[in-house]
Formats: sequence, C-alpha cells, structure tokens
Amino acid sequence: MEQLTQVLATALSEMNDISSIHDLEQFKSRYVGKQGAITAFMQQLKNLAPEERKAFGAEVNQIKSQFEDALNKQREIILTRELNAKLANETIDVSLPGRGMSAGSLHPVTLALKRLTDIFAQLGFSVADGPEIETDYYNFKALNIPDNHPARAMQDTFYTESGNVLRTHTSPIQVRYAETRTPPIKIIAPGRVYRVDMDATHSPMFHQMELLWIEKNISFANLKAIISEFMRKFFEDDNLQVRFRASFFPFTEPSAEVDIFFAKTGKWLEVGGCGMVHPKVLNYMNISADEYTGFAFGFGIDRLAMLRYGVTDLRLMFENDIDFLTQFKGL
Amino acid sequence: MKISWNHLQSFFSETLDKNLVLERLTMAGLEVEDESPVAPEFSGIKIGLVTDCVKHPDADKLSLCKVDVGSGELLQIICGASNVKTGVKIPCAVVGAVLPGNFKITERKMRGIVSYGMLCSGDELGCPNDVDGLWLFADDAPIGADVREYLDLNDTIVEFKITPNRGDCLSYLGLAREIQALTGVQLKSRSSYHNYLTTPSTTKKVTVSDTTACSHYIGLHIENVNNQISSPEWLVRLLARSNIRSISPVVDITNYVMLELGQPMHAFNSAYVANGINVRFAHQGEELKLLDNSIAKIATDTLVIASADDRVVALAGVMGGSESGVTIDTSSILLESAFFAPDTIQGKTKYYTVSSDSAFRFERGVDTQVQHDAINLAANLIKTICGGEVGDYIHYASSQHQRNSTAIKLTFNEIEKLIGEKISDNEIITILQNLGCQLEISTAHISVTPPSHRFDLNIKQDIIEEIIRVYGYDRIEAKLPNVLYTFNSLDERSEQLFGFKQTLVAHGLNEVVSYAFIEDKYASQFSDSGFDLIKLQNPIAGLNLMRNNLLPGLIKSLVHNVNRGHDRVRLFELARVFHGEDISQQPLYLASLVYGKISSLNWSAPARNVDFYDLRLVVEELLRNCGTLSFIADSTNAHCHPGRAAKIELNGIVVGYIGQLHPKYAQDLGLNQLPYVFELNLQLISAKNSVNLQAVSKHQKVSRDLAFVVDAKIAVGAIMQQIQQLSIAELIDVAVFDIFTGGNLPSNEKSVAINFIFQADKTLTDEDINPSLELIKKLVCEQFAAKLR
Repeated sequence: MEQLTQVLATALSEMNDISSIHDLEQFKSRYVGKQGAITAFMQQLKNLAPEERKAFGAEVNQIKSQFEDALNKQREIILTRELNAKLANETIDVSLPGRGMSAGSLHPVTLALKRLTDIFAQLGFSVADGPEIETDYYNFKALNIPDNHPARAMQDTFYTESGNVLRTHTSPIQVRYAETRTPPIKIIAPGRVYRVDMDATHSPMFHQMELLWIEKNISFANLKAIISEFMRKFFEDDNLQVRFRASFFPFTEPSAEVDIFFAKTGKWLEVGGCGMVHPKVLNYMNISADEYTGFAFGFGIDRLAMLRYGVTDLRLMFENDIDFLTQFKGL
Repeated sequence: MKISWNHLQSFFSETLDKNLVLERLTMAGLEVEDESPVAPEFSGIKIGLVTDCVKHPDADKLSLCKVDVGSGELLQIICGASNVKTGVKIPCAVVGAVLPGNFKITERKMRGIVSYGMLCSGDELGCPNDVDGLWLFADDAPIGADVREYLDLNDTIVEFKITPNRGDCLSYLGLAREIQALTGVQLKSRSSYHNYLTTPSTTKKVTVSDTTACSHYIGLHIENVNNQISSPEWLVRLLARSNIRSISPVVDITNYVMLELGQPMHAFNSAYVANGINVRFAHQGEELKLLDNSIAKIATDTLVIASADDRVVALAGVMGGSESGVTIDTSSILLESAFFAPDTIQGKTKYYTVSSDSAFRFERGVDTQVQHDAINLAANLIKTICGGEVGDYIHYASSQHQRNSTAIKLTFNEIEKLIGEKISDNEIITILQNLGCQLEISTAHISVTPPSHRFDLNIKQDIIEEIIRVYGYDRIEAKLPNVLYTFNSLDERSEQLFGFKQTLVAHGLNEVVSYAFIEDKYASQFSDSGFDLIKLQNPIAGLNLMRNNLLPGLIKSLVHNVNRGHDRVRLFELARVFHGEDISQQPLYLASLVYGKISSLNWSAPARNVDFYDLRLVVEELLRNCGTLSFIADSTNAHCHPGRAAKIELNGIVVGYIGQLHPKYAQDLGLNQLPYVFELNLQLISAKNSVNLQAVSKHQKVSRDLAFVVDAKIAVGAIMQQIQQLSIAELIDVAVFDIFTGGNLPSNEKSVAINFIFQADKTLTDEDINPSLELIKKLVCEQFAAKLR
C-alpha cells in the first residue's frame, strides 16, 4: 500500500517536468501501459486472497484514477503552452498599411448631383434630360429671349458652324419636357452647359440644374419655401439664411436671384436664379397660363459642390488631377 | 452703370441714408455691383495760390514758395515739383493736414529753412491725373477753399448692374424715380424746362419712312455756338464719374443729358443737314465713315439718318458719321432728340462692332415722352456754356407716339394667388401710385396704366412683380405648397448610370470631367473617324471641335497626371459625345483608362502592370446584367494595338471597344507604356437591367478538370463559347484555370486546362456526369483538333 502511494508520488513529480505530448504519452505507458508500474499492482491482484483483493483493487483503482487526472491536467497545460508558442510565432506587424487595389472616387459634381437628386426625389421630382447642342428655339426663343435681345448678352453663347448653340443653361429642358406633357409637372434637369468665359471663377463648360414645378395654384410663396428648404437640406444647416433678390430673366416673371449667407465670409453669395414661369413660356409649353402657374429655379451644381467640399478654384474641377480627385474617396 | 452718389442725392431735398437706399435698390433688382469713394481719406488740403517762387539757396531741386491759402498771411513752403511757379493754383496741405495713409503734415526744416506745409500732386492725394507734378487748378478756383469741397471729393461712385428690362434706370432721373418708389422719399419738384421749340421750320422737315422704327424725331438748330472753350469743371467731373471722357462742350452736354434723363442725343454740324432730315432704312451698298474713323458697310436692315439730299450722316441711335459730327470749330449745330424702337437698334453694335452708350439705351428702351425735355435741357446748357442763338426746329411724331399706353387689367384675387399671400388693397394701390402708374380701381379689379418710362410693364405678371418688388420679396412668408403629393417612380436610366459609376469606383477608378470641346491636335489623333466633328464658330483657347468620343479627354488627363509624376492612373468618364447636332446624335458614352501598376506601391510583393484582362473584368462586371456579352478580336481599331483589342458585343450588337492604346502614340505622348482603354456607347445599352435569378441548389457541387492541347492560335473564348452552346443543364460554371505553353509541347501548341462545375437537384454521380464530359471532350477534340492531355 505504501509502495503504491510512493509510486504515485514519484509519477506526479516526474510528470511536472514533461513538456511535450509525445513524452507525456511515453510517460503514460510507463505507468499504466501493459508493463506499467501501476498496471503491475493490478496484476498482483490475482495473487491475493479474495477477501484482500477487493480492498486492494479499490486502492489501486483510486491511485490509477488520480494518476490519470493529473495526466490530463498536464496534457492541457502542454497543449496550451504549445498553442501559445505557435500563435506567438505567427504574430504579424499590424501597423503595416493594407495593400491591394484600393477603391476609386466619384467626381465632386457627381457627389453633389447625387445629393441633389436624392433631396428632390423626396419631394416627388423626377429627372429630365436634354441635348447639349441645342437649337436656338429651345435655348432662347421658347424661353422668351428673342433674336438680338440684350438679354442674350447676359449669356455669351457658343455657336456651331451650322448655327445651333451649345446650350447656355439647362432651361431648354423645361420646354422640351413640358411641351409634350400635362401638369402637374415636377422635374429636375441637371446637365452640362456652356458659355464663352474662362478664368478663375468661370469655366467654358460647367454644370447646372433646373427645377420646374407647374401645377394649379403654385405661388411665389411656394417657390420661396421649396428653394429655402432645399438649400438648408443641401448644406445641412437648418438656420441657413436664404434671401430672394428681385431680378430679371426673360423666362420668369416675377424673377429673383437666390443668395445664401456665408457665415465664414460674412457675405451673401449668389447661388442661382428663379421665378414664376413666364406666361409666354407656358404658352410655348402648350400649357394654359390661366389655369396653371409654376416656378423654375436654375443653379450651378459646380458652385454648390465647391461650397460643400471647400474647393476654391473652379478650374480644379476640370483639370482631372489625381491628387484632387482621390480626396473624394469614400464619399 | 457708374454714377455719382452726390449728384443722385441732389434730386432730393431730404438727405438719403446711402447704405439703406443702396440695400433697397439691390433687393429690388437694381444690384449695386461696386461702391467706391472718389478719393481716399485726407483733410486740411486747401486751394493755394503760389505768389512767389524762388530757388532754395541750398538745394538745386527745391523751390522756396510763398503760398496764399486765404488765411491772411502767406505761408513759406518748400516744394520739389518741377511745375511749381508763381501764379499757379494748387492743393496746399497746411500744418495739421492729413494726407492719405494717415500722413500728418507738420512744420519741417529742409536744408536749413522751415516749410509750413506741402504742395500736392494728384498722386499724393490719391487722385491720379495726367499732370506731371503738382495738381493744377483752374484760374477761377477760390483761394482757401477746401479741396474736397471744391472738387466734390466727398462723393461715392456707385456702380449698378442694370438688368436688360430696366433701360429706364440708365439715368439719374430713372434711379431717382426708383428711389422714390422704393423709399417714399419725394423727388424735388422740378420746374419744367424752358421751351426752346418755338419756331417750327417753314422750309425744312423730317421725313420718316418707317413710323414704328422711329416714332418721334426733333431737330433743333443752334447758331454761333462757341465749342472751342473747355467744358466747365462740374460737367467734366460728372461725366468722369460715369467713365465718360470730356470731348467738347457740345458733345459733353449731349452726354450729360443722356446721363441725366436717359435720352441719347446727337449733335450734327448743321452744314451737313441744312435742308432737313430723312430717317429711313439703308439702301444696298451704302457706307459711312463713323466717329471712330472705321468705315461701316451698312446693311439694309439698319435705320439711318440721311440729309435732305439723302446722304447718310448717322446710323440712327447707334453712332454718327465723322464728317457730319461737331468739332471744336463747329459753330452751327443741329441737335437731335429722337425715339428709335428697341428692336430696330438691337444687334447693331454687335453687327458694326462698335460700342455705343446711345445704342445701349435704345436697344433696352427709352421713355417715349422725354425727347422734348431732353432737347430743351441741352439747348439751355449750350446757350449757358457756349452761347449761341437758338434757331428753328424740325419735328416728327407718329400717330402711335401720341397714343396713351394701354391699361393692364387684373384682379386683387389674381395678385394674391400668384404671390401666395394677401397684400392689402391699399398697400398695392400706394405702391403702384409711387411707381407713377395711373390707376382705375373697382371692388375686385384694378386697371393699371404704367408711366411712359416703364415700357417694360406689359402683362399682369409684370404688375405683380412690381408690387412685390417694392413690397419686399423678404416680407412674403415662405409656404410649402398645399398639393397632393404622389410617389414618383425612380428613373431607371439615372439609377443605372449611378450604378455604373459605383462599379467603376469599386474597381479603383477615379471619375473625371473633361471639356466637351477639344483641340485639333487631340481630335486628329484620338477622335472616332466614323463621325464628322462638329466645329464651333467662336471657340476659346483653341478648343474648337466637339468631341465624338471620350478618348481624347482621357488621354489628355493621363498625360497631365503622368507629367505630374503619377505612374498609376485609373480614370473613367461618363458624358455626352457628339455624332451630329440632332438630339438623337448626342449619345452618352462611358469610357475608362488604366495605366501603370495594378495596385499602388506597397511593402509586399511588387505589383505587376495592368493588362487587358484587368480592364476586361471591369467591362464584364459593368454589363453583367445587361445581356449576352462577348469580346471579338479586332485588329482594325486605329487607336488600339492590333493584337490587343476587341469589339465589345452585347446581345449581338457592337456597343464599344476595349484594347491597349496603339504603340504609335507612345513617343508623342511621352509614355513608356501604353494604357488600356474601353469606350461604351450607352445609347446602345438598355436601361432595363434584369437579374435572371437561379434557384440555389442544396446538393453538392461536383468539380471536374479537363486539359486539352490545341493549336496556339485558337482563341480560348471560342472553345468556351462552343461548350456553353452545348447547353448542358447540370453544367453551372466553366472556368479556364491554366494556359500552358513550352515544356514538352511543340511551340505551335498550347495546353488549356478547364474546370467544370456540375450541380443539379440531386446528388450527382459519375454516371450522371460522365456523358456530359464525354460530350465536351468530343466537341473540343473535333471542333478544335484538340488532343486530351
């Protein structure tokens, strides 16, 4: 019996020094394998008297079970140690940057345009489109700008050799869209427009958006509300001051310039022109001016994009410099 | 238009609050573009008379002067100007004066002698003039007077941006009337002008051929005019504040009347129009030497002023002839004050490439009733300044001219409806009356007759705009429309286009926006030769052709970025191109360019260069749900490497191309490798994207590989297509996973390894799959003379 306890004590003390699973398995067979030290006690059983056999058997089993518990614990310890060593070996430098092909970027005009269409879609406006090489009729005449009228000088026009124009504004889309439809008409019409002008604040090609809403009982007060709310939503500033300044456009009456107040500069900044659609224009649209009223609003998308993203030179928008473009990643 | 604020103020007895008035004008549509003081801040500068001037005993370049500034004693002042001499009147800064830049004048010893002030040049007072040295004043300048007062330097020049409809505001009177309407401050009552039209000519007359083009014409003779003197200071100054140069008293007076009342005038040398005036359209082939000495070949739609013997002396309302104009030696003149219709004058300055203040006003419109006032004011000034005797006059007025303008009838209800807010009837009435309108009012209606100078008011909406313009746009409360809101369906095309852009961004491409017009150089190299290029009549910066594809812009952007040191450029653009001028010939194109490494420089394995297949994947991804896509080798594309280009075919239609830019461009573009590009004509691609969704099977996929050895020239795509055409139901995916040449293969052969994935509604066994594989083997071996490897 003492012998038995002695064997277990020796085994447990030896076991602590074993550091690999392989050694542990060999160690195990030395004690509980066929020739094992503990197994040898079991084999003594058959030599004992039946009355002693039971008690001794129980003792051997208890020792064996203690041995196996300890063995399992040691196995756990070794496995954990081995795993930790393996993981430590696999450690990488997480401070290195990611690699592979990174995403590209949308142009700031596209970003602004997406925002604009999303805002107006909420109010039920659809998108309309038109050609960029336009006829004199749609660009001028149907917008109540007759030949040679001084109002034409407000927009320096590019002419093609055959006498068509590069549209000077997105307003022609109004007429093209409305002439074949009946009110209510609620559209936004974005696109590229062209004027003979080129300096730090003017580009010969730029982007405009036209807003047109024709319905029964649309009023100037409505125009003010829609445009002011839109500006506040676009610039995410519920307190943005928007003002309407009387002006003249041949295709609207009354007409107004829209200014927003820029707290940064402390100045009013003109962002677009608007007004109630002129009855002559409604007439060109085949819409009864007695029955319907409407308003139109035209503004520069580039300018809104520049204000929103802090671009200070319009020329950057069309230079296509990668160092500029990639700054719009993720937007 | 630039004006003197002080002169505008002189139309009112009450002192106006300048800032308030200018703000009101801006908000009411007469935008103040600029406001600048005539002179910078300075004080203590008096008009001095140099009574004595000798050389400084100890300095060659300095003069020792005695100056009378009206203080009772003469000041000793040292002056370095070369034009100082006894008897000149000059600006004198006395001790205590402050010059611009806060420069204070004190007693100062110069080379041993004390100077009690400083004599000034225009530059030193911040008012540059063309005199070299001291600013010299007229002989009658009052000694001791403050220079600011004398020269009216406490004035501000205000520049207005006048919209084309407000020709009536291109004068002091017009602006003053507007201020009255907006602020209620009353204009000084003006005594009517002395009438000089007392003697109608018995021998001469005005003949007018077109009574609409010219509805009113007055000509007044003035004899013995002295035009050799200088115009008075006040006149020169007032014109200068509107950027008009003084020419001679008579011309200056006509310009002054135009600024004052808005009526353009002209003065002829009587000798050339002695027997009357003939207003008519030009005859074929007529010419006129203009005031600027250019010869105008006159078009027949131009209204001209001719003499009684029918020689053209002026382009009506635009510019006079040089021969018949007044010079300083002219003593006998005919003053013209007439009304020419806007549409008669419109377009003429552009046609004759002249600049004309007169035409600028006539083409916008002039008050039809101001011609008499204008000619009387001018005659009065000429008599006062130049002397002379007023002679007889000639006159024409059409029946139309005498008729009253027609009333515009509208209801208070219509006014409220368009504005969206009720403005009280009384306020409406006051506003319209202040604007000078004649009103007839009943309970519901108001009948408005605008004054003759408001020729821009013709319809109800014009009147409503006037009401709210004066009432104040800001005072109208913003109200969201009270209408039935409906959902609108999303626009398929916009959604599709935005989806394309997102796909391209996901593939690492940066969106660019290029000009739609291109230079000859880019056009000749990179345009699509299949379409004529549309030319612009009036291009700028050499951008004279409308692009018919997107390649030129992408190449230009590539070169720009490569020159700025970028070695990896990935771009796309979505824009219209121009195959013709009709709406149907302006399709949207989508194009892309990739250049350089597949990824940016990194710490891991070196990146390889992009190739055809990288970009082809982008096209495949873009058009995944647009139909059946195929790439057909194309060695005929002039822009592409003949062995590395393909037509992109969608549902059997060629919608674009993909390829490597032709090496012939390398040297010119300065590139050592050539980019890959694709262009798609989106007009040929339906906006309707559809996903043909397949049921997801729960059963195991089975994978099998086959390798074939074929002739090296055989296109793998052809093999793949043939396999697809077998339409094997269980075959859900086919992929090439290895192309091998060399080794123990003959040099004209290659090995193509293909992976097949089978799946069905049951677990497939070899017995299920083998017949299909046999079919494929047979097909490839027979069609492509392949051997199984």
